[in-house]
Formats: sequence, C-alpha cells, structure tokens
Amino acid sequence: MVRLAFRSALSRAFPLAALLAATVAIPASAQRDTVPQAGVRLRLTYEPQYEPGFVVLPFGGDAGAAEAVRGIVRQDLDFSDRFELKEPSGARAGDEVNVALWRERGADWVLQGSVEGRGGALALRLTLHDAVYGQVKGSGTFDLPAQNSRGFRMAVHAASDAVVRWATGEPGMAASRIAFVTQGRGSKEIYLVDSDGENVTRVTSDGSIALSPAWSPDGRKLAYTSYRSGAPFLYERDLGTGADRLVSDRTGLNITPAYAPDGRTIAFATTVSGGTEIATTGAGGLRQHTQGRRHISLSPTFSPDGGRIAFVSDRLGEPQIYVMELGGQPRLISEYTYGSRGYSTSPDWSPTGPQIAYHTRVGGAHQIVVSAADGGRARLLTDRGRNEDPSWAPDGRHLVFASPDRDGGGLFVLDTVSGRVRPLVRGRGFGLPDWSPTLARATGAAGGR
Amino acid sequence: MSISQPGVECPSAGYCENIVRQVRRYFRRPEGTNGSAEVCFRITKDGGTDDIEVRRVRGGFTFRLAVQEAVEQAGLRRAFGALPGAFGASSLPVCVDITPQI
Repeated sequence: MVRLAFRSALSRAFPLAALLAATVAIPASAQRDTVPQAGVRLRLTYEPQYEPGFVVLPFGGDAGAAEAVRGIVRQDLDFSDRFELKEPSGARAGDEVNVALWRERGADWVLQGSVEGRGGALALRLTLHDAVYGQVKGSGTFDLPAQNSRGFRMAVHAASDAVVRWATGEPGMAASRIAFVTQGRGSKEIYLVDSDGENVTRVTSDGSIALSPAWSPDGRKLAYTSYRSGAPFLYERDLGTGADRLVSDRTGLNITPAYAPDGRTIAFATTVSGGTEIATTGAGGLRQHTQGRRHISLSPTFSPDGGRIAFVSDRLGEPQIYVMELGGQPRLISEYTYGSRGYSTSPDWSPTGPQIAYHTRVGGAHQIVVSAADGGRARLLTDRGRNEDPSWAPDGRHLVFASPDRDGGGLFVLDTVSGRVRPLVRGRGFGLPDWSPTLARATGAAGGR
Repeated sequence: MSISQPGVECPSAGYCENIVRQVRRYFRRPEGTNGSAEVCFRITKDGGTDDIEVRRVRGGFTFRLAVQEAVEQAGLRRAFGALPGAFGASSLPVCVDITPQI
C-alpha cells in the first residue's frame, strides 16, 4: 500500500484563477481606483537558467538501505537537470529539519527521508519541504522490494519522479528504460538499460540482425525488426513473458515500427509496389498511409493524440521530415532549400507536446535538432561530433541519442533546456535508442498538504 | 536592480531593495517560460499587500500566476516589512517590472 500526499500546483492555481477572474470582472472605472497608477517603480531581473537549490538530507532508519536509497534518489534528482544539488553538510539522519537554516544555505527544497523494514520489504517515507514558502510541499510512503531484489531500483526511481512532480508539477523520467541496438560480430542484438545507466539487460539472442526497437505505450512490449527468419520481419516481444508475436512478414521490408497511443496499432515501413510506404497494422488490418510512388517513406512517429504522424521521405531527392494527419497530405517540416543536398531523418515526436526531434546534416556531420510540429526554424541542440537517432524521455525534456565519436562513442542523454549531456552507455557500436514511457508510478491516497 | 520613483518616495533605499529581494525570493519561474510582466500592488502599513494586478504579461497564464503568487506569498508573510512610522502615507504603491536576464 502506498500512501501519498501531494499539494498540486493545479490545486493552488484554481483559487488564483478565481481571483484573476474576479479582477477581470471589476468595471474599468473601479479598477482605476484600486490599481496603483503612480508609485515606486522597481525592476527585477531573473536568471532564465536558474536552478533552485535542493538538499537531500541523510535518510534515517535501516542504515544500509537508507544510504543506498538516498544515493539513487539524489542521483535521479541530479539527472533531472532541474535542481542544483547541495551537500547537507553537518546534517545527521533523524535530526529535526531546520528549513530556515537550509534556506539560508541556498536551498529552495529540502528532502527528508527514512527507510524501514516491512516484512521482507522496505517502506520509504519521503517529505519534501518548500524552504522558500516554509511549508511541506509533498509527502508519501512508498513500498520498496528488498534491496537486492529485482525491481528495487525502479521502485526508488518512481519515488524520485514523485519528488520531481511535487517540486515542479512536471513529470520525471527516472522510472524509465532505454532500448537500443548493439553491433556484435555479424549480429545486432537489442538491449535495455535504466535511465541512470544501470541494469543493462539483453532482450534478443538470435545471432542475427535485430533493429529499431520501439516501446509500447504501457511499457510492456517492444516492437522490432529481426532478420532471424532470413528476411526483415516485424515482431512484438512481451517483456514479461519473453514471448514473440509475428506482426508482419510481408514480402520486402517490415521496418521502423512505432506504436500508436492506443497500444494496439503499429505503424511501420513496408514494401508496396516497389516503393517503401508507411502503413499501420491493427484491428482493421493493414492500411497504407503514404503514396510515395516508388520513393521511400519510413520511420513513422505518432503525435501524443495519435492523430498525426511524422515520418521520413526522400520524395524531394534527399531524406526530409514530413508531418501529416492520418489520411491527409504530408507537409515538409525540416529545412529544405531547393537544389541543396539536405539530409534529415530519425524523427521522434515528443510525448508531451508538438515538438519533433530528429537528426540533420550540418557541415557534413549529423546533429540533433528540435522543430515545432508545424514547421518553423529548427533548434540545433548539438554541435560536436556526430549525433544521431534522438528519442524523447517521458518528461518531454530529455533526449537520448547515439554518437559514434563523442567521448569514445556510446549513448548519451541530452537535457534540451540546459544543453547538458551525460553518458548513458559508453563504447562503440550502440545505436537506435528508444526511450520508454514511465514504467513505474508511485500511487496512493492523498493524505497531507 | 534599478529603482525609479515617479511621484512617491521610497521610505528608504533599503526598504525598496528589500521589496525586489522578496519578490525574487518568492517568484518561481514556470519551467520552459522566459516571460516578463509588470506587477503593481500596494504595501499596507503592516507590510501586507493589496490590489495586486499583473500587467503586460509575456509568457502566458502560468507566468502570470507565478508573478501574482510571488507578491501574494511575500505579502502573506509580511516579508516586505511594515511601512516605517515616519512614512506619511497609509500605503505604498509599487510596480515591479520582471524580466529575464539577457
């Protein structure tokens, strides 16, 4: 049983919204009486990149587990790139929290925690103090499996995401994993890794070529292409049972799958009349969505509402990114100059809004860019080495991408707000990452402020 | 921080500096917005606030709420401090321009 208390930003917004509405309702003449027309004029500038100070106090309770849990939570909060983590110098587990003192030391947020044994499992109690407003912003008790058991780290990550939501009102991304492809000797296999780079596990062991893993919206399945039957067929792996389901064995290609938000429809690229077209397979059978007329269309990605897809097509000669409503006409969104050789591919639609990340060629090297779904100027996010195949985290803020040459190569996580990049998996031969949705949630009944 | 005083005097330079400091302290910029706004309000004798109005908002509704809440919270906590006894008027009208650092 998880108990949770959370005073949401929304609940605070409603009384303020009502107040604003009341202000609007006042006649203009009355407003002139109440609003200061002349007075002291002051100017305040704020730092757009300001990150509020955050202290994670030593956790009380079971000493070994408490330190391990605190270490994971602290790192998750650091990797969220939303806070400036500060050391709790001089603090001891179990001390009464002096929020005013931590405020003086530059902390906006103070996290207090304890871990207690509960049968063979653990109970993590967390309280987030708002040091600026001098109040508790959220508190909850989370069930954790035993420290060495499977699922322990993911349960702690879910608690970290709850803390991020208490503090910012935004989703976290700690409780998630990344699927990716590794290049072996004559084969390519699919692996998974947690969002913090831990817990690398193998998914396929076919000694063949596996490509383009794509997460289902519930995080329980992966769609992927495998050549293990001799041709590129599309499969769906149930990650709970390990069972595979054949999704498409059409003659020709069955590649670059992507789930629709309904979790049942899969879009992919397949051979039609000598061209490669975007099609969907689901309850209604196979439906073709592009008419490339012997051009190539591939790498579909759905908008969060499932009404549109972005995809790659070479109908202008070079691969470019297009967006279209299902059943509508495609519209070019990547930058294209007539007569010039552009190259843009690997689109991924943000799970939280109308933004599409993809990689494009800049000065001969692939770089990650983000563009609005309705077009507009793309924002260049990388400029060092080669950077490819971006995939959004469930927070809609971070991207994972592959680089063969950055810091020795590997997979990297990019914070699109601060521009910070951290390595996720180091080494050569890693590619085609796909970031999962949130895989574990801390849920429970509200019971506090 | 810059201060100009058309018509009304600051009770003291330190008092007005503290107004800016406290609004900044309670201002939580919504993530993903680099908005700007002008917030006007009256500081009452006991250091509370009245007649808060947020104007010329760039950055949307969430930015407006964040600016309004910053002044509300500072007033609720009497963070501006009571008006000095020597200050003649019953309240101090203040407008603060909030902009991102360039």
